[in-house]
Amino acid sequence: MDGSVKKTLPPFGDPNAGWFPLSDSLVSDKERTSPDSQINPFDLITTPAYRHIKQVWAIGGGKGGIGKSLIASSLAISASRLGNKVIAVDLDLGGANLHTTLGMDLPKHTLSDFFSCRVNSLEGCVIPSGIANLEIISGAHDAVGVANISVSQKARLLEAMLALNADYLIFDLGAGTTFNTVDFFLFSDIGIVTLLPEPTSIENAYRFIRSAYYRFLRQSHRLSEVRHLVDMAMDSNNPLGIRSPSDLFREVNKASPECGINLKLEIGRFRPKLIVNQARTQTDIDIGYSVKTVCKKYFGIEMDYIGYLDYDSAVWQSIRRKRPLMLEFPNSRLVSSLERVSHELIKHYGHQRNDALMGIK
Amino acid sequence: MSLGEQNNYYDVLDLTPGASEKEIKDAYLRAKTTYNKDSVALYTLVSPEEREEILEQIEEAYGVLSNNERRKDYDRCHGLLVMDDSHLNEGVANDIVSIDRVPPMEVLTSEDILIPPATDFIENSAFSESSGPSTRMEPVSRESTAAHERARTPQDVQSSQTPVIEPVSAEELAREIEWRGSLLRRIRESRRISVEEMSTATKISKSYLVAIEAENFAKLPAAVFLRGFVTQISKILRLPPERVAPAYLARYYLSRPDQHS
Repeated sequence: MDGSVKKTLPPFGDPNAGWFPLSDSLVSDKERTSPDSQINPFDLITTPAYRHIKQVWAIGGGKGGIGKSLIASSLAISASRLGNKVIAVDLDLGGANLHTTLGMDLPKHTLSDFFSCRVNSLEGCVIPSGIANLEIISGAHDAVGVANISVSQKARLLEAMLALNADYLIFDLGAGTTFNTVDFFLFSDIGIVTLLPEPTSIENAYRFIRSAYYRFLRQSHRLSEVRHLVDMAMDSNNPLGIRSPSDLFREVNKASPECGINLKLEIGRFRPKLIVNQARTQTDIDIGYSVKTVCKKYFGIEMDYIGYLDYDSAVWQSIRRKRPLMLEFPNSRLVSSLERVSHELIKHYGHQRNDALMGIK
Repeated sequence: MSLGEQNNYYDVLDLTPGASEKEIKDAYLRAKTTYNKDSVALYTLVSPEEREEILEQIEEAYGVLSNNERRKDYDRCHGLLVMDDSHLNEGVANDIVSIDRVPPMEVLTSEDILIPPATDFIENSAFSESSGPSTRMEPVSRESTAAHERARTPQDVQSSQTPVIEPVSAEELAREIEWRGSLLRRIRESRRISVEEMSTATKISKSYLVAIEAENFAKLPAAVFLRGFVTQISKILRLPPERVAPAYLARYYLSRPDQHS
């Protein structure tokens, strides 16, 4: 990464025309003139001089109700039990309920206070969870419209989070594929996609991976020359007929073989992890392998299938009692598989965060 | 296989050219499951026509790779790594010195013949827990585990994952003349093939397999059978049977004069 951001204009028409409709009430005039999607929020971040954060994990997956908050809170508890200082961040803006899965009351200070500058710094929003080593930044008490934070607010938040005093940050993402959700996912060192073994969830998981994939490629400085092609691929009704990553690869190679090589390199860096939740049968478990295979074929990406979680009625019971599953049913099969997944994550993927990898200077 | 590039048969099945017969079979079954008509994993990403097309490629690839002769031809035509033993046979006749000493293979330049197949760590650990899942959390005090976790560097962590199996290098193999049971065992382990799997693949009973690896000649059957066993094992391990079997049998004859050939 040479750090110089080339502002190359695509060789045809208005590159932004019609690609990204913006209906963002909180976007300032300045940002309105330069569409949100065009700004790489990671470019706006300056890394703090001294940092504690070792690693950022994000749990996403497109569909609602697939266990993102449960997995996020369980991984957070599990990592904190290993002696790591963990901050769980509820980034499901506008639909936050991580605090509930952690068995907490409504928190006093939340991200809304940070966005509206009611607290001086993000530290003011970090509240103890009642579990040793685990703190939480909640998204509850949200002002209406908090889901639509602007790109500068997003950058301010990410920057402030990097300066926090913790070993691990664990993001609980919202459903859907808005730029905010996808950007938080891409900001993480370990992006975990969860899905249920059912068509609706798989459809949304692919949609989520697809959004993150193209946005990741879009933000790559190495591919700035062919950014217009990536933009086109994001909309399947484009004039060049780019409908899949392999079409994109073909067109990029046509435009510049060097960029074709870069595209492959960049794709190699996009390695989401996969968790299949609510598995009831061996067929359900095998779906994880199949999704991995299909993603390799379609996107050219290597996904790591890090584990499956059994369907367990302990979940709804613990949610009704508003108690963390980990604490309420410590001996259940589900809890032990959650613990195993988080231990494996720390063991195999735990490393010092390297921002150079993420395109952040 | 990715991004619509020209793929060879190994790519189609997501394998490397050194794959064993078992790996090929497993990969084939996995691919068939993935692209099955009812596979939900395809939903919205792969159209029925594409599915048909991919299935055809899979069948075609398996048709060749599952047949040893066709696979060898394919490997040769595509310049893929092979244990090319045709030229070795020519050398054997001229240089043979004694019954238990067969000449070494030429040094093969490709080093990856015996590198164990890459596996996701999870296949060894997280997925292997079909029963008794909670036993894995040892009652170690949290603090000490944590301190331990932190003190380790990523390299440490990686190297401590699997029991260290010393890989057998290609040169070592090329020079090998004795083909002792212990070596066969080392090669088998480095390829992550269990005795059970070997038994299934070769139809040789586990007790014979263990005896062969331990060179427990008294327990082994008549030479004619043993030769067949060693040949089978060599094939599964992708070793040249015509070199392994005579070398191994030579020691057997020495300890079992009754079995003189």
